[in-house]
Amino acid sequence: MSKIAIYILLIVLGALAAYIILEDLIKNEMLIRAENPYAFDLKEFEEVDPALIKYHETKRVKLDNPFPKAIDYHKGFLAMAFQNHLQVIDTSGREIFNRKVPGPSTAICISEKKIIYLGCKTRLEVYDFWGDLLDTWQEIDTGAYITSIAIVGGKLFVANAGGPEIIRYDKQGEIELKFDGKNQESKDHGFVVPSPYFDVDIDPEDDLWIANTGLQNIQNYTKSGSLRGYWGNSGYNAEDFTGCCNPAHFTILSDGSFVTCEKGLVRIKVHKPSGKLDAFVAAPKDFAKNSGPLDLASDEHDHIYALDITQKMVRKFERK
Amino acid sequence: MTDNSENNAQNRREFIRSSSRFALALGIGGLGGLVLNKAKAGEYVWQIDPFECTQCGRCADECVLTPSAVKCFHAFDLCGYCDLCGGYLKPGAIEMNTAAENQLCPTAAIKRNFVEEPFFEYTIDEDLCIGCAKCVEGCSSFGNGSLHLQINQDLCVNCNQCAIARMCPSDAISRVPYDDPYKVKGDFTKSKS
Repeated sequence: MSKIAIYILLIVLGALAAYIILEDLIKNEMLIRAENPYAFDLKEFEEVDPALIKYHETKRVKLDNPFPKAIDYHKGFLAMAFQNHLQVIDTSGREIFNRKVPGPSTAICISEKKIIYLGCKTRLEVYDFWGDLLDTWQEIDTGAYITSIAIVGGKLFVANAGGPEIIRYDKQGEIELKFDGKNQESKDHGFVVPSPYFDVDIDPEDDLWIANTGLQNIQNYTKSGSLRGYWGNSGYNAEDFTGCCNPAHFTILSDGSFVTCEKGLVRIKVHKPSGKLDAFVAAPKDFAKNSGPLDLASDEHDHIYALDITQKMVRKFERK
Repeated sequence: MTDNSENNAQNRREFIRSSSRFALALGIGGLGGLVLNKAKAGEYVWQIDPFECTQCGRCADECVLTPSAVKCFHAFDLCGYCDLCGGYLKPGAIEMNTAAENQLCPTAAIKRNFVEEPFFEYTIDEDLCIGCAKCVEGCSSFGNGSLHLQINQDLCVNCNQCAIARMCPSDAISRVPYDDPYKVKGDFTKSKS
């Protein structure tokens, strides 16, 4: 073999080796990789018909406290529970007070008389509107997990995901009733709460509504714990609730419409009082990747306040 | 002749006895050596931190074994036993049942068993699982994150440099002590499912 042929062969081999090394470097070391063939793809469900989005975001209030947990609105003020803080701001974002609390806070509700009821996982704490502790109620039990509080007619309805059960208190903190949604006659499942998302709210007619998240519906109960009706379906379509544990949060508007927020495929929707889908407030693309569900509150103008626990801000939405 | 026969018989017996002793010694020695070697090599083994894992799918492809030594584990104490399970059913599944077209797992490695209305139990068939993490992503997105990946130490060959660890984009794989080789999720589930 001539010298030239050997040189050519060596050059070809060298080029081949360089190509293999470079390819390995680019593909592996720089972590560039072909599309994941096993990807869990939700793109199809993240798309929302623009005609359905009838709200727009009008304000954002950044939060300084870490670990926001829950939000409630009352006459121009927003009360927020953080892991170990209790904060009240007005709707412009001006701070009224910010107090450290023992926590761990998991739910919040303001009464007509501006008394703040703070759910602290297994017990309730009562604060005045300046953040001073008024009372600490007896612990439910060590396995309790308070996820939501609603007040109507001088009674507190507390959702305990650890039960799961709804506990009715009087204003002095005495337990009057507990119910789990089961009905022996009709063999109803009762509340199915796979994770600590178990919301409760009151509609303008003073009716009690409870999110039965494991069954992906919202149920109407009498104040004594009897099921009256429900709406909601499991599924990935716009009008349905995805599983499990949805709707994670909801609030009710002045006309009785429901504003719901889901986990997993995070989206905020408005359903008419009948349960029919009315509009999207925000689509999945409006939230951070891997965002948790947003707790919701609404004001007398039906503006919606969403507590974005991932981006640590309050987001206000108004109808277009 | 008789003496010779007896001698031969004795020699045979002695030979068998010696061989048995030698085989026994070899067996014990070999076993001891294996144990010592395993213990020494296994002072540390590779394991996935499920809280760092981003379900990128590389565990299925990068392991030197086929199928991968990475398997899906189930922390039952975290599971909601949901009918609409995000780890079992494809997004947009037509029906909530075991029909192949409704299953998310590409190898049908998750078994769905009815417990009582409306609860279902989900178990993993490790022989079918390829460690692709598709179910883990579904479970983390919609459920409680009870499905998660772990390196099955019964299968792992404990390479000096784990091929998956080298490629893991979130550095979720690291060496852990041999006597505590799993990082299973959940407060109570400390052993393999």
